[in-house]
Amino acid sequence: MTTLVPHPEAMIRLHLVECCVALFQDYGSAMQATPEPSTVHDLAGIIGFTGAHIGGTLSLVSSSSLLARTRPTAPVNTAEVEDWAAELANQLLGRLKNRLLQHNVQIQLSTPVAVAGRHLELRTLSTPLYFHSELGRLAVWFDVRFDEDFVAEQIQEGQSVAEGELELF
Amino acid sequence: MAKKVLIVDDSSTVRQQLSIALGQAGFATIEAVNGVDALSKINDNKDVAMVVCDVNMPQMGGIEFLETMKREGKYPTLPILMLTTEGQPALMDQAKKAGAKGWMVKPFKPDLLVATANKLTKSTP
Repeated sequence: MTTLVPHPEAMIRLHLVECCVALFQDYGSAMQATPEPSTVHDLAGIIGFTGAHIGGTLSLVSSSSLLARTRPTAPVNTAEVEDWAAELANQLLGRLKNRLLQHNVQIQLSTPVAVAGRHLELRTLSTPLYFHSELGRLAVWFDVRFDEDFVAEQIQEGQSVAEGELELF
Repeated sequence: MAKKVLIVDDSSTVRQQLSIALGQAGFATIEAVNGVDALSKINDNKDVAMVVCDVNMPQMGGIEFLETMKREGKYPTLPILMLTTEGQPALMDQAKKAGAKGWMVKPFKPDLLVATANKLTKSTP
């Protein structure tokens, strides 16, 4: 018998926190969740997703200096930092997607974009998740809509290859 | 002579990372930004020994690129390694059926990537 997750949005946000911490850890930054808001935003990576009875947008918003310092190779221009912001959003949502598979929820990702500007503020209905590390602060907005037929099951086998791992065919 | 690897990813950061890792291991690299660009680069570089390809890209994604390569049947022995954030078994099956030789989930480990590239290019020119 399948057991359903009673509060799917809360479950997703918990996964998202863990995914964000793990993502930045892989790029050398000890990011931690914090209730304190981040305020300096001049660069955002934004990516949409859709699935059966679910859809939305993930926005990773921070300062270009923080994002530049987490880039695997030092950027030589702003375009490279912007590309990295979009790729981080892509990799964060990719990790979340793989977690959601464990709940029998499948989503498809759009291609990410970066938005740059002074004092960026997102006008969304969702409450952002905030993170901080020795490099600075960032915020993740996760705007999700479910329709009434959406279900998420309790954890089961999902992803067959973990981040950083390989399967040869 | 260095074996040539085609890197296909819409992120310049990922292309740069891959190029550095493979370059340090003695591979020559060329780059493409999506599947359409990759098809063109392969046609212009007949000596490509391996392709490392993202899945989620604009214009033509990695699975469509694989399926196009298979349909055209021009390079049936060219090894293609998928490198992506995706870990969905159904997508991996689709890639396998379309001829991919492996699936790696980002972020990649340089040592593992190089070892895989050495293995997959052992029998290619």
